[in-house]
Amino acid sequence: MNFQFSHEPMFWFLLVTFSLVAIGIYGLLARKSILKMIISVEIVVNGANVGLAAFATQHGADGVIIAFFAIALAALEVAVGLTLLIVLARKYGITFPEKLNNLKW
Amino acid sequence: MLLYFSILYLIIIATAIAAIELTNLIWVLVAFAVLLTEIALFYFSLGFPLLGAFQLAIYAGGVAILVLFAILTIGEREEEKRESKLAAGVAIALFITGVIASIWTGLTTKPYLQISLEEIGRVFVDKYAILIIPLAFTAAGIVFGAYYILSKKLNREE
Repeated sequence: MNFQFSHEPMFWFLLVTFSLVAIGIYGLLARKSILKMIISVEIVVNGANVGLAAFATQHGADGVIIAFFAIALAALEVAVGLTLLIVLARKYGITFPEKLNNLKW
Repeated sequence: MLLYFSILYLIIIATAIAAIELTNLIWVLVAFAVLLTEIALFYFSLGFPLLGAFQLAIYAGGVAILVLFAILTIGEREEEKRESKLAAGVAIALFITGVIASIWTGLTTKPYLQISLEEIGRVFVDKYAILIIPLAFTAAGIVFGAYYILSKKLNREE
């Protein structure tokens, strides 16, 4: 059996993109934990990457290359986010962003 | 192929929801890792093996291990509940808007292009190679900034 997509409608892949973006936005709005918010951002980025890869099959290799850049930058963003999370958890015992109000005026 | 796509889609949606809704952080990580792996499978099926391998190495390998490390370091915390009806409404509205917009714009599907690794490499060198320089500086700045914050905080602790 061949598992290679060859003529499937673009709408299917857009459905995956919209679903992942919607779930990620829901996670960002509904969760209080920084870790879950980071995971939600990653889900949004992955949804966008699926769309980019799907459109690359229609318009050329640019979408794949932009997806490469997005993956590299998203990995960096996770590394920095988790670093801040660990520092906040160890120093102040905070893992919820609402308790971060040092810069509030 | 509809069956294969449907199975992939259901697994992706189920694991994405599980990664957000589960309370045990280890299970959250497991769901997240499965989600990332399934998306890599999507890339393989679309005919982009390099992107799939990149996804597996960076996301399912690196990011998942980073998250595991963070969970093991900070431990389990009780998550406070938040009213999520508005968030669910926003997410559903976003999804429906996207679906309607894609139908309204008359999205058509042309025959798939066969994009080889050589083609990806050629386009990358022709169009995007110059982007590597600001990207490298950005990446270095991000890593240095994180290291600076971490070392400063840890030095204060001592």
